[in-house]
Amino acid sequence: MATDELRYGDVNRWVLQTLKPPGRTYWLWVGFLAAVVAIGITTWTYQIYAGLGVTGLRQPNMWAIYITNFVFWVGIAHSGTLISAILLLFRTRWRTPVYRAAETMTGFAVLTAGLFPLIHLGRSWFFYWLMPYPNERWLQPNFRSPLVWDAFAVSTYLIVSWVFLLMGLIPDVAAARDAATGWRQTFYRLLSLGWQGSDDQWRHFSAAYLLLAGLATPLVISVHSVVSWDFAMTQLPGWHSTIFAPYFVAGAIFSGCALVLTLLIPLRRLMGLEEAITPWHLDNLSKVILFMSLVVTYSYVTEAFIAWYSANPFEQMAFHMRYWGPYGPLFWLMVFCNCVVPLVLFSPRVRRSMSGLFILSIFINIGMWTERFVIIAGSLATNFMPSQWAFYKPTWVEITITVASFAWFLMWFTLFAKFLPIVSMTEVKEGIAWQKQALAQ
Amino acid sequence: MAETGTGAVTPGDGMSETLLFTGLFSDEETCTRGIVAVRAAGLRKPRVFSPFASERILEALDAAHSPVRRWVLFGAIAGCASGFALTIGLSADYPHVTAGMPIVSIPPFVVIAFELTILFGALSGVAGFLVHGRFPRLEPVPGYQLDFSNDRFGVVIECAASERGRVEILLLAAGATGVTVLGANLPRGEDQGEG
Amino acid sequence: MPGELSRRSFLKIVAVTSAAATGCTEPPTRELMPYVIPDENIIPGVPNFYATMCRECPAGCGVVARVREGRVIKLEGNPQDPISAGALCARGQAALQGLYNPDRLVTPQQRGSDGALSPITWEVGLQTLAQRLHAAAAAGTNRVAFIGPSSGPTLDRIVERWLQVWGSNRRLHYEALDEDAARAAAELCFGRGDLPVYQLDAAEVVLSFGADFLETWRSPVELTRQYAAFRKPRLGSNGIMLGHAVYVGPRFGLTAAKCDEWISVRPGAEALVALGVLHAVAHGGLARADIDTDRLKHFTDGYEPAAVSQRTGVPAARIHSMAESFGRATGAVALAGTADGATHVVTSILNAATGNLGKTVRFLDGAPPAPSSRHEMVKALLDDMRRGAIDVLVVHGANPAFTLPGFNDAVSRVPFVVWSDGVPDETAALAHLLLPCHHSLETWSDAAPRAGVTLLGQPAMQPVFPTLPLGDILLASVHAAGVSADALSSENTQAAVETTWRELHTQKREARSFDDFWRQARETGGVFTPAPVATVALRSEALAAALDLPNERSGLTLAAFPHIFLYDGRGADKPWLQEIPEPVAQLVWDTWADIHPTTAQHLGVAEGDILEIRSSQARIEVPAHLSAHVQADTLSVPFGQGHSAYGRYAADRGANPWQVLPFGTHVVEVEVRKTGGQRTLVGPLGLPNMLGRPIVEAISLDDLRRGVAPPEHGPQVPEPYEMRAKHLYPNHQWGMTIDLNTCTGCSACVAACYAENNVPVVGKQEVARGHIMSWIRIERFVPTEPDAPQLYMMPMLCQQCDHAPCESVCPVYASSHTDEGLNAQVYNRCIGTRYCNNNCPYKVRRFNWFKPEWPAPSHLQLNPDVTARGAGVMEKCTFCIQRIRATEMDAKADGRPVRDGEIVPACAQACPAQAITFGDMKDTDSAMMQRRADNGLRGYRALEDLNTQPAIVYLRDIYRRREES
Repeated sequence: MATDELRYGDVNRWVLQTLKPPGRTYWLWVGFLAAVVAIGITTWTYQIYAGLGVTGLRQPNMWAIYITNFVFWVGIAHSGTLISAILLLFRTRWRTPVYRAAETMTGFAVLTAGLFPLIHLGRSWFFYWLMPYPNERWLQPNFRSPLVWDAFAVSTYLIVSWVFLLMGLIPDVAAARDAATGWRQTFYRLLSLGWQGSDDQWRHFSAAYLLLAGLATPLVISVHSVVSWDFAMTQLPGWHSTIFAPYFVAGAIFSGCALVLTLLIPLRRLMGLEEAITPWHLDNLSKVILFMSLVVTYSYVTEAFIAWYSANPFEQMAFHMRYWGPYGPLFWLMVFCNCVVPLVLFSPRVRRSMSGLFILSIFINIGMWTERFVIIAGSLATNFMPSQWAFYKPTWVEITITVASFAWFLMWFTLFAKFLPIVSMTEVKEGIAWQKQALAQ
Repeated sequence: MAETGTGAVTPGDGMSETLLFTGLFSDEETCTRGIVAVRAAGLRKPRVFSPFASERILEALDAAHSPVRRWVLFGAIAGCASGFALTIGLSADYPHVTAGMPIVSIPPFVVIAFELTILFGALSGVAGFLVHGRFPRLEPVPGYQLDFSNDRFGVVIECAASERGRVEILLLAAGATGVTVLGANLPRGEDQGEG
Repeated sequence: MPGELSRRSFLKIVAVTSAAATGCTEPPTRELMPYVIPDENIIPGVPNFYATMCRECPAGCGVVARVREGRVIKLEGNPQDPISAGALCARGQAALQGLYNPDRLVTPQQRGSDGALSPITWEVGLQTLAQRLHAAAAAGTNRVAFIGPSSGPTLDRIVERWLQVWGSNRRLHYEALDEDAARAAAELCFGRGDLPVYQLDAAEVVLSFGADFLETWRSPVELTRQYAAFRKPRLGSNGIMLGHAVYVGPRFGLTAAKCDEWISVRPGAEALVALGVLHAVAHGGLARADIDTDRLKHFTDGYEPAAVSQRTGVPAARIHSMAESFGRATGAVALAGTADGATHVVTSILNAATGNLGKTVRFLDGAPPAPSSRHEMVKALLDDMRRGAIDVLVVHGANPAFTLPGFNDAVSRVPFVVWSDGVPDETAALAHLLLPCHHSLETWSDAAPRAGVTLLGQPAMQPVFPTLPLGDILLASVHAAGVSADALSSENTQAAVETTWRELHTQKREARSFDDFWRQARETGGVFTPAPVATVALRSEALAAALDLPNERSGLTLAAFPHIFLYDGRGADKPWLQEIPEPVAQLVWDTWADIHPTTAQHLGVAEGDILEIRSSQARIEVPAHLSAHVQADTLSVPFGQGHSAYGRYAADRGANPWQVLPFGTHVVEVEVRKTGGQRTLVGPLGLPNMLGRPIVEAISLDDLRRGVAPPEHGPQVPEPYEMRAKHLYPNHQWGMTIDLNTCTGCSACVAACYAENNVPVVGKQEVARGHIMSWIRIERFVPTEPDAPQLYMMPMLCQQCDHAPCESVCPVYASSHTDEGLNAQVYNRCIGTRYCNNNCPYKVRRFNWFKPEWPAPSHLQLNPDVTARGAGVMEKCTFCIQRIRATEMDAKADGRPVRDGEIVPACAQACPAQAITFGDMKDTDSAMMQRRADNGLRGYRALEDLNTQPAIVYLRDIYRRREES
């Protein structure tokens, strides 16, 4: 990437210019997103008022798009932690300019994911019953229920990922503070907690940051395992499978990295970060995607094998229907998006073509969303009781709320990117220093 | 604050006893050299500002391991314990048979305990960082310059005015791009790193 | 035993009491006798039980009304009544929805000159009626007519005398589904004016020629009970045997499905097959000695099985074997359900010739006079009306405008039509004066369905609306007209009923005083004295008379049949009956035309295509339902829908086959063409195929005899796999045994559950969207393998699993296990994650997608013992936990253990076949456990290999392999 004349000062120049007061188009974009979110909130209100019957949910598909979205967004969240924590532990250098964006994505993805269990509840206003809290009748949640594990795992994940994000921000915000004036300066001063980068501060910071990364790594694995257990712990054919945990984690990282591409490619263009986030970085990222795609493909094959090898007629029928039933086309779309399309990443030219990667990432997003839908709605549709088989179709309510959830996510991400450093200056500088050292030797 | 050449700064009137010398470096390499030189000269351990976390600087200062690690350890242990306490305690307190499972069924409780281990570990780690790093801090550390968050490294030495010439030479020799001197009645920062 | 009231309830069966008690608008009676005298009549929270009767069909079942705080909330069969014997069919259960129907007429209404209806006071209404009647009487004789079903001795007498007052005798006992053909046959063959009573339980062989005796024919509850006994496996001459039933007819309905075999013939060809059998009997020396065999042979000339086989397509060998088994059986019975007379005559002769008169077919002495009018009289009245010879026509309890072709134009000539009933129907739309009438549960009445059974109907509650009993209306009209009517001395219906019963008392030459007799009647709901079997013989005229066989039809034929729930159409205003799927077609809220796939292909018709069915007189549009359950070239269409009025639930829904049928038959040649329109027929079930999964299981009689356990399908768990600590049940572990062999799929249990547990009705659209709420459903699977029963059916309800998958996944313990083995569902704790349903293999859980609605006054029917669930919570079958708790508390209060059979869930109580037994699994002597023990080979659990360990054990259905029959 950078050559030896690359200077620390450039980094600040690149990043701080992104924090300049935004223009009209920016605010129009944010306003548009906010409007969509408002529509979504109205729709949810209507759903609460009228009852869940306004959705396409039915016997036996009592879980469908809402849970699909939940799993999808939790999955998205994972790549952020992967890039910022796991790759940090591996001292991967290419991560430095992209991890902040990825981590931001994580923060807001979990935020979005967390909404869906509430939207999905029959009596949303009692969502807090999922958590143990002192109450006059001493009613408590059932800790044996995977949904309670979920509540714990996801809220832990939300807290830790945000703490991790905000802590990493401190030195950069300090840099922003030193360059800013007016209310921005005050804002950054408060956020930077008075950071000055003295050796002591760095000492404690590095220790804490490294350990947080060390904790976030098992956390991220556990969270999606727990999510997958929502399904694996039942006895429903198509859900009840031991490979679900690794299968879902792989899928999560796969979809997450794809969304990072979807976000970074326009971002670097719009915010003039081409020099900071170079094709070399995205190349590495897409190698991870390629690997994950292969893992996911392997999981699909394993699932099919297990179904056949188990000689369990319920299992076999469930998978027969998954491939050839009414949702079959969705399944094959998923295979195309997740298994076939990513193979083009074997070519370095594609890995370095921005437009190519962007289109690819869209395919993968679609593919991974479809995967979750096929697993959730499809398996429920082909349950044990043939007389209760039925295939679910969403109504405008679910579609609106789903679209709004994307707007909700993008709105927060856009705001963040313009008001806080979306590329970690300190870590990029660290990278430069490492480079210089390498060249010196 | 203007960067000054040698002797550009006239000592404050009344000849105060100690001055604050800040050697400015443009990169990690020279900065580390400066630190080594200063310490070899038997001066007080300097305070070093850097735009990013540099292990080499910390080595040069041979700084001790941060106590934050212990915070995380104990936090995690507490989390694990409270995780099991919560699940077992509340299940026993509100006993309901479901699907013929025992009231206290450990395998599912492990999940909860695990999550709480992570949560408590992380939070107490942050707490440790805030405590030991003295955050949030209101008054600035003496000798801080805005460039330190950009591309400058600073080695700050506190010593008697009489040492001035020697220190300046020392720093410039080490490769400092310049030296600033802060006069008397400087605000007292906290003394050097504990631990 | 199921169907029997618990001791406590039993004690509380009290006769109707004064206005204070049930608050009838009628003046209080003088002295009132409770079953066992309680000091007070209404204890809040404690139900009272009143013995009364069901008027939903002519069968005449005695029922017991469960009354809480002065409102009827549930109907049960009356255990003392020989006809219902404590059970009650779906239609009977739904009578409550007639009582609490939100569309019932509230005040009298009069049609103005502009044709618009306007409410009037009762005074005005009765005045107008009186004047009109007066004028009519003045104008001449027989200018007043009354159309309605026979409504029991008292009311019939009132009507009769009331007509006399106006110098008329135009009383038309009208039932749309009458027994005219049967009566004609009975008269011809045996010289009887009454109909025989059947004893299926005394038979070994049943041949049904189009008689849907498990659905609507005659007395379904009674016949279902008998059929269950008939099908009960018992030790016979050659090992285990059970009754052998064959159904001959164009439609594979519930009855055909539960028979061993369905012989599909063109509509109208039933008589031919019967003749073939009779011929084989005559020539096979199977006829009784005292029958003139020569005349019998002569009678059946030209109908030798070979010939019949040619004309009907039924193999001659089959006819021979039918005759063989019929003739050789120690008891056999042939039933005829067609509208044409021939079948009835032939079956009557068949029964007589094989010596089953007095055994399986019994005429009883002292039978009541024929209630239903002959077709000639119907035609005659219609002619009078057309001629303008009728000035005042009163219609009650019938809907001729809907069911009687030609009525509409005839009635247009009648200057003054009075309609007096509950929910305004098509006839009301033609009436000039509408008088809202009491529901049968609000008024005094009586009925004599057969010899030896006289039912007393007493008001079970205060009228819901300011209505009047028909009797009072008629009497009042007389008084208002100021006519001196000695004939009508009694001042109101109640008094009239008492008078009738005084006569009955003297008639019966009872030793005890009338007061005792009257009290006894009110306590037990009537007088039940076994009537002596009359000795009757086959009259020689029967064999002399020429048969008028229905002409052989070619081309497409429409064969309409009475819908098991909607009957002739009167059920359509009751949402339960609309929403409970027709058991075989599994369709709701609509009319459909069963059409054979080959015929459909030939016509290029696909499922849901709307067909225009045109007969000589009219046309209807009905969506096609492709199914092999109908004879080729035949469209079988249920009666019931196609109302233009009759309340919100019935109006503008489906089509009315009565329109295309000529009077007096249910079969007509039709032309069919596609309209090009499409309408999806809606039902709650998904696949019709069981995919070989161990859900509904059956065992062949052959295997049962040889004691061979049926081949297991599906993966098997080596032995009950115990991963977890077993539950400890300190007191009880409730369980259920359901015998799929006796279960007919009649869905009485479903209706009972709707009534008992406040289960909401969601309507056609929501059923289509998978939101039906019924806690118990009838599973129906069409077998794909040859070695299987004709149709798999099973009541599916919460299995109350020991290792309930629903429990462990609920995050808030809304679903958890009680120490009596139930899967409790705590509505107040449920937050609606719906996870439990995902993990329920039986899919018996129901989610409240919307807030249920109970349009007034239907909310009055809600059972106060059961929570009405709000939106967003999960619900399911609870084994009627409210009944369990009530009984347990009683037992505790009396300081005794709960007795076996004391707790009866609503489904078990309603079941006419007594297929469902409830009890304590810890008590091995309980009837429920005994039933399991006695049928060891047949016991299984649904989806057993999932190791959910359900508390419900099903007993496998028993079927005859094709070669066995």
